[in-house]
Amino acid sequence: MKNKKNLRPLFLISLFVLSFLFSILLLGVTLVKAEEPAVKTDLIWQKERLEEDIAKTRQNYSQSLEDYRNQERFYIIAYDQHVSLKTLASLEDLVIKTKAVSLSRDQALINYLELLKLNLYASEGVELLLKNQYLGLLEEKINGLKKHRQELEGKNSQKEVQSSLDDFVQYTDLDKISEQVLALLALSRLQRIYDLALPLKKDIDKFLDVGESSALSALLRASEETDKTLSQAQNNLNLLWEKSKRANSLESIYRNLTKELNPVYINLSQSLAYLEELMDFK
Amino acid sequence: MARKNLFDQDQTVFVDQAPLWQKASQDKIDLKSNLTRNKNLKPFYFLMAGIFLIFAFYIIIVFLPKREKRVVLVEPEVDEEILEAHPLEQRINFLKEDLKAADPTRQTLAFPNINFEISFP
Repeated sequence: MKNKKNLRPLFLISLFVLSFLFSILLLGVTLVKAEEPAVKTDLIWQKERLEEDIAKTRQNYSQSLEDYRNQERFYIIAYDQHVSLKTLASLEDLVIKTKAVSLSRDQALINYLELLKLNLYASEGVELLLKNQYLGLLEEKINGLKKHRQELEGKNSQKEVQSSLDDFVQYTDLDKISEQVLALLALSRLQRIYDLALPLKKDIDKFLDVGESSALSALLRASEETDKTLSQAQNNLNLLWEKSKRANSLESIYRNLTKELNPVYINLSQSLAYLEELMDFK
Repeated sequence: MARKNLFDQDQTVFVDQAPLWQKASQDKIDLKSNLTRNKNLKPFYFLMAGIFLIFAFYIIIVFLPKREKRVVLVEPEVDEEILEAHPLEQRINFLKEDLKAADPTRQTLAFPNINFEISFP
């Protein structure tokens, strides 16, 4: 009985300490949870995952391109040695180096096309039909290169490696496909900005009561001028999209990218500057 | 014995004061016996309170949301402006950033310089 009485203060202190620590733990958990955004839609999740995939693929591409550069250097050395020595040993070395450089070339191209595909998939301003057409084309080329690489791995003799090199001819148009996709991507970026600027202008008009009869005449003029530049941007974008549907025109757009896209870029830049000025009327 | 008597010859302390002083100091230091006998628990409470405060402080530091390291900005005023800006102005600023990224003179995904003519001599 006496012992129980002696332990009572200890028990009370322990209880107090434990309850306080528990409350701090609860507070900590609440704070950590509060840091997370309340709701994440599927679309945001999907976009985040896509961005992660793009970053990962970009890294893979850089590594594979670096590997290709190394293999190409070894191939050039082996090639020069065989040309000057013409021995069986130098030929054997050349066959090995040629196979290695060809494999790493396939891999670098596969990763590059994957990166293009993901960027095109993530782009928002491209017409769906055109987007699907190029996604399909890229997928087809990626699968072809994967198959080519797989077949080459099993080949060892000079004749077999040479036949594989001959098969690679069908992929020499990859640079053209890449140019077309890059032109599409450049166009889509500007289209997206226009698509977002249009509702923004409407929201600003609503916020400044531009539609009201009491609106300032200076504000009305500024709003009309902004509409005009946005409309010019739209016209220029439409012209570019029309042009892009013609055969081989995407390549020519890409080769003169600055010249072709500059009018739209200037229109959009001007529109955004006007929108900023419009907000000064608030 | 003679030596002890020699130390006891302190004439600044009165004989009847000495036991009282000894008793008080013993009471404060002897925690164990105090705890078991449930007499003077003040030192124990102070000790526990100290430990508890240190532990609570540690827990608070561990569980408080970590502040991100402040990056030295070239133009800190611009960020403050964006934070304080009206939502519509923020949308304009985001679009301006996007437009910068969409500059047609910038090209980061150009086709790699690859040798398409690898062959045997």
